[in-house]
Amino acid sequence: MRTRLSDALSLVVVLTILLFILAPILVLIFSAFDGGNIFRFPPRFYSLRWFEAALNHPEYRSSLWISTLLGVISTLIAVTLASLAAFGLVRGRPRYGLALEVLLLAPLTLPLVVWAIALLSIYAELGMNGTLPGLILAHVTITLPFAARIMIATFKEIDPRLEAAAKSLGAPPSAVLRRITLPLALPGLLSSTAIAFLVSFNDVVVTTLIAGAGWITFPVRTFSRLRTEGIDPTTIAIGAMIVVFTIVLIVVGQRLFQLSRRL
Amino acid sequence: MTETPYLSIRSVGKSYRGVTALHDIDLDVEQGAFVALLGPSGCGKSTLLQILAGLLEPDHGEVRLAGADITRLPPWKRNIGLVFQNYALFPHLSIRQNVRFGLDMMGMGATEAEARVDEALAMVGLDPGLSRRPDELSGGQQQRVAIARAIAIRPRLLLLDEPLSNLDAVLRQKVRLELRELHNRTGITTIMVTHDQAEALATADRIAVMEAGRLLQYEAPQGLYRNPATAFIAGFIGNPAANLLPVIAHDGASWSLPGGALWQPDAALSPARNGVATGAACRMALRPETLALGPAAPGGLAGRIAAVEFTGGEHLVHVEAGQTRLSVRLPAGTPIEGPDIWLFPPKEGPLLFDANTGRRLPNPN
Ligand SMILES: Nc1ncnc2c1ncn2[C@@H]1O[C@H](COP(=O)(O)OP(=O)(O)O)[C@@H](O)[C@H]1O
Ligand SMILES: [Mg+2]
Repeated sequence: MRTRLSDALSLVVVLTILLFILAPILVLIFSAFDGGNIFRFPPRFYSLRWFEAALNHPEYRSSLWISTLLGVISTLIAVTLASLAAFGLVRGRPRYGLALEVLLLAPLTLPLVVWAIALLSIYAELGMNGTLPGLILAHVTITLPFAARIMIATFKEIDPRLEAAAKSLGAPPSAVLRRITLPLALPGLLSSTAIAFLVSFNDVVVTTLIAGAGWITFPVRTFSRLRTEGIDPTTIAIGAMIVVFTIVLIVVGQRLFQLSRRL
Repeated sequence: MTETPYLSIRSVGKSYRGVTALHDIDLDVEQGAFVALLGPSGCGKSTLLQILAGLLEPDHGEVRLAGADITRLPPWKRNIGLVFQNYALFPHLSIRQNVRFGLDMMGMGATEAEARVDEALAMVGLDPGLSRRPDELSGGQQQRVAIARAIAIRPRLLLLDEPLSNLDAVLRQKVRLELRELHNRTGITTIMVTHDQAEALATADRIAVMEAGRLLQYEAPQGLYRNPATAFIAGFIGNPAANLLPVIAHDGASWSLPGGALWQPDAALSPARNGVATGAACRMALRPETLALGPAAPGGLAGRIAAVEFTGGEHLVHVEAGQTRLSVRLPAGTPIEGPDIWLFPPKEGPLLFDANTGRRLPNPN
């Protein structure tokens, strides 16, 4: 009896905490379906008009496009560099490997603002402020540590004896990479791609300072509109879409590759 | 010049960042032989095996296989099968894909490759219909897959690194016999690493005993047992291994034992007869199965029975003699009267080793 009671109690507690954490997101999603002109909760009548408006809004459309482009390019670069670095660190076991690893992950420990300021002053010297390559490089800088961390863990988990066994069976290094290392690293590659993309897509701090007026990403656009025009149902609709997109990505990632274990 | 050996290892050495793992190893293996590399953990067996497989490059020395220098040949060009202690099966491939891996690397056609996979799986006693993943198999089955994968490529050399150590005791006995039978059937020249002397004695044609990066002795199992080159080997081979009695030549006829007691053995075992100068320290190897027990008589060693273990076919008697402890194996049913008893070594040329170098002293006659 007592255990059943305590089970029920702990369930209630857990649900309450979850509700507390998720409530704002639920509010966001519900209000996105409201037909009114201003933010209301709960919605009075349901409509998809704000989703339509969001998808047709020229500024949001271009910002979403910029964010996606920036996210995809910087993620590809960051994951490639991170994988190469991680492979070298784990398999090559260089003399100062641990120091290199710490350096590679160090950006995780500094506030983004510090990075932004550092990049800003370097870019000013190079005349790269406000350019797309500058922005891409900045995003590579902030996403690389996340990708590197996942890839280092991934390669450490792959038994080097598997690669040795493949070699003894006649596989040259390229075949070992293609048939053994890459397939085994695939879950890690997909996880780091997803995380790097989300980090890039979410960034406001570094982007605001580096991007200038030419390359306004979605979160930066949303942020500035929030400040100038208050809560706009279009923003809410886009927010809802992103939440759903992210949840789908994470659920699929967790299901397929146990994303959370790699963080 | 004699016929060149199939595999020859010439003064191969290797150190890891200053620590020498192998000192100048010389070893020849005949085609079709089953050789065991035997030695305690950390003596460099795996290092030598990896050099043969091409996974490590020796600092110096030469490895020749079938007449060709392969010292710097990359592993994928060697056609040498390798089975790891943990089997190292590819977890993302099915059993058949694992066994087929090397055949695919050769570019073999699908029909022929599938037939070879069937053959290799049958050879190790596995059902060729096995379509599961490696992690769904038991340890014993995984090991068979690893062996099938290595022999499917019809290797010029099969290297096994501690193949039995991850199996339980019962399975180990069974699999070691199967390994030997597999070798008899395939005739593949095989080198097996092990730290278990019983395993080496039971399976190999020749045993290379290693200690601390050096090859101590390379000999057929019976020769190794009868004529160990060092005290270390005598104290390592056999079940249980030889007793090593520390002795100092007191005079031409008697030895002094630890604790100071004097022992005057049969003339054949005396210091004078074995060329040991008075005062020299030696170790005398006494095999448990050659010792006899009985009442006081000339040539005997006085002792006291500490314990008797019954092992089925025989008794293992532990005797305290002065400050040393000796084990004696007697057939079951031998009457044992104790606790005070006398030990009698065989009356022929003893196994004597220099106490400092551990080297075998030359037998007289
Ligand atoms: N990669 C390595 N780096 C440094 N030392 C090593 C390495 N591999 C082996 N050793 C050392 O070399 C010696 C021989 O090792 P190994 O060949 O694995 O012995 P065995 O297989 O006989 O147990 C040991 O002292 C071991 O600590
Ligand atoms: Mg080893």
